[in-house]
Amino acid sequence: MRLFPKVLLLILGLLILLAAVLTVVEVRNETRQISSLVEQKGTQIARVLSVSALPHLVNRDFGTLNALLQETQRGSDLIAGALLGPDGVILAHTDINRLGDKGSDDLVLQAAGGEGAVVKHMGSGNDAVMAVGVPVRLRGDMLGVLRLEFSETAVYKSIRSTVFRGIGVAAAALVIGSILAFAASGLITRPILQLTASAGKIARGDMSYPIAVNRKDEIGQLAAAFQSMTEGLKRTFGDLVREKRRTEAIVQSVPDGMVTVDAGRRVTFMNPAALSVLGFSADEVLGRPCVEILGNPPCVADCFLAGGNGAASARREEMGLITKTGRPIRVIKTVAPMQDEDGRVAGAVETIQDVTQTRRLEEKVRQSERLASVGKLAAGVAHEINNPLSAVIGISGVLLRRLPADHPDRGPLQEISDYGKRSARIVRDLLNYARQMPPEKRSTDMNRLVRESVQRIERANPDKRFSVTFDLDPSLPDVLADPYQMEQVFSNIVLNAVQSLNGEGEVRIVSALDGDRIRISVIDNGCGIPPENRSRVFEPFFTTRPQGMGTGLGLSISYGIVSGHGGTIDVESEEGIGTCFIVRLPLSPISRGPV
Amino acid sequence: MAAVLAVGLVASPAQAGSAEPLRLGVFPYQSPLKIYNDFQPVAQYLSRELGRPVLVETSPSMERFVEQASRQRYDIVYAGLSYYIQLREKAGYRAIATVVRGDASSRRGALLARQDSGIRTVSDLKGKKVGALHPDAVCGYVLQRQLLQEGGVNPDRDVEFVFIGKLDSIIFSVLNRTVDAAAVDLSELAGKERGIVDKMRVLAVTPEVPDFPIAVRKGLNGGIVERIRLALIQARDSSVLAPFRATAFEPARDSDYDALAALIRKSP
Repeated sequence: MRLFPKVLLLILGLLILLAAVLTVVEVRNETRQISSLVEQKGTQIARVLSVSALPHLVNRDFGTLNALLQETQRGSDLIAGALLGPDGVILAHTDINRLGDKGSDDLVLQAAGGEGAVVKHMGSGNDAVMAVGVPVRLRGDMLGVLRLEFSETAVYKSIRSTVFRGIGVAAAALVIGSILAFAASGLITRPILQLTASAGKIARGDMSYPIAVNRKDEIGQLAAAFQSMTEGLKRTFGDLVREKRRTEAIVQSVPDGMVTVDAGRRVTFMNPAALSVLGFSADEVLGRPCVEILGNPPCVADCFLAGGNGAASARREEMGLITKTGRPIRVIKTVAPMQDEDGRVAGAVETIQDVTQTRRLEEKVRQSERLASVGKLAAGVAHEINNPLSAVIGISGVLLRRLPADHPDRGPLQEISDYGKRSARIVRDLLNYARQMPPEKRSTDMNRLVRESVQRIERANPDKRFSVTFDLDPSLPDVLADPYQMEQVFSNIVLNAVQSLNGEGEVRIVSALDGDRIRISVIDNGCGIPPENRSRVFEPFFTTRPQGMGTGLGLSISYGIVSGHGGTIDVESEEGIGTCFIVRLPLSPISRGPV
Repeated sequence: MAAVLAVGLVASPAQAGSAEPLRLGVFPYQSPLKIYNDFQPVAQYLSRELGRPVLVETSPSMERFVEQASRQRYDIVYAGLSYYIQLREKAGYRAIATVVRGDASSRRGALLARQDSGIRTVSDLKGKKVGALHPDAVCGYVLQRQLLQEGGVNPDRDVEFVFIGKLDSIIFSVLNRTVDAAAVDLSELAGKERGIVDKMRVLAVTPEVPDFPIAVRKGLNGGIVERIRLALIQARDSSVLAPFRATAFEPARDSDYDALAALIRKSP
């Protein structure tokens, strides 16, 4: 129960108790007083009446005696009056029907035997009667007894009146007391309610609620202390808010992703950088198991927590993740435990640094450096070999023309000529690769270029059983590219795909706009590239085909051409599932405009 | 003492003329002061009607009243029956009017007992106490003696008379069994409350006798006597009638009381 009704009830209870006690005391006093007065009055009347009756009794003037009694009864509380003779016969009575009857009782006998008045109370409430007996004597001779019965109803009426008055006073006291108690309780509880309201506001974080208790008593002191505490809290809270905002700002602006998980391995926080890297919105991740968000392999936090080593230091590792859109990325994760006040692991905080691009660039740099060195070497070698090789091809040609058709040396000589030509072709490729000729760019419809490249391959490999399907974006804008070089690129990639099919399978070519680039993906469902080879596919002379089936320069040349156009070429592959080469070329300034 | 009281009670009415005042003597059936006060309106009325002062006088006792009347002190007297008979025979007063109570100008006595007393006839009163008004009370004793005798009860031997003096007290004495029977004036009983009357059994009733007379002294001027009679008969004012407990007066002759006088003479 609240304080206000308690105080109210307490005061009212005290008032009722006080009124009841006062009423009881008053009733007892009044009863005693009235009874005493009635007794005195009754005795007095009886004595006066006995004196008045004496001569009439002596003169046997019973008519006057009766008249006396009836006159006495009139306008008084006398219920019945009787004068009894010494033999107990009623000589006079207020009720003439009783005349002549025997009317002795204890009171009469007691009065007859004594000198003074005898009083006896009988009945109660409305039937309460006070009987008074007085002897009527003449010179010691007992002539009779006067017996009077007075109603004490008036006494009880007076007592009832007192009780009602008491109840009235109690009721009035209750009403007035209620008002006063209400006011008094209000004086006490109103400031407390204000303090309670203030505490509630403060609990909800509203420190601006003023505590308007202008009193100098204990409640005022309490309010002042409360106000002081509130202001202290307000300052502390302000500091905390500012610190929190600063921390939030830091966390929000950190370029690395930040994820927190609770002990149940559920995501509790993810900063914008983490959301951006993983491709989720905050609503999609909060509360979800981190393994669902951070993909397979299980998140480090999960592993960390599973280890249960709360005292362990932070861990850092690089790993691959799959984004919401399925894009593989490389991240460096740092996982540190979050401990509660008891030192137990309450969760973990992870930072995610997306190093996909970095790794890619690093690889490209390495590859470029590798290719550059290979190119230089190849150019030098080719230059040195080209002259002797020209001599071999020329001399072998001259000799073949001189030898008759059936000359037994003609066969070996022919082989020398063929190998020489083949070597010359290799040298040419090397030179092409090494020279890295600047592209002669012009507006090129890449969809059309891709289709024509595929047609040429199909014509050149009529025995190959494969199908090429196109999913080309018809709205793909033209780009500035060297058609010859780009045809060479797609011929290499598509040939590579066809060859991975091992004579059977499907190649799908997809073109699409990808931001400020166009993207052309060549996807096959061939044998795929083993992980250990994926980083080497663009290395010159790297080939998995049998000796003499390829120079291993096609993809290296393609890489060089695409790079020369300001684009990128990437490979994604799963062994046994297939490979996807993705060529991205920048849009020309014209193409970037509204299409 | 009686003379002093009598003189003290003489108050002249308003219209006293030069003529000698007339004295109205009222028999002392109540206290002198009460009689004086009650009869003032009567005196004033008669003074107006007669054209001469009328004084109210009474005496402290019956004996004194009779003595004064015997000396012709009262010109007009109002007395009980037995006293009137005495005054008539001793001083020559003669009745000129009689009191009418209700419709009757006569009265009668009776013997009464409690309904539950077992006394049913006059003869049952043998050996009983009988409450009576006064030895001179005609309707409250004298006539009842006759009834007892007629009922075969010797009033002097067979019953004990107890003279109580007031009708109410006689009745209450019967009711509280102090006495067994009562000799009462029935005309007086008529005014008592019904509850009391109902408790009483009437054992016997006396013959009727004329009611109390208003008499004049012997030798009073005849013209005045007639004017007095006329004034009384014509009186209608309740203040004049009330002292007599009368509703009216009617003319009476002295001979109307002869039978009563004879009856009283026979009484001891």
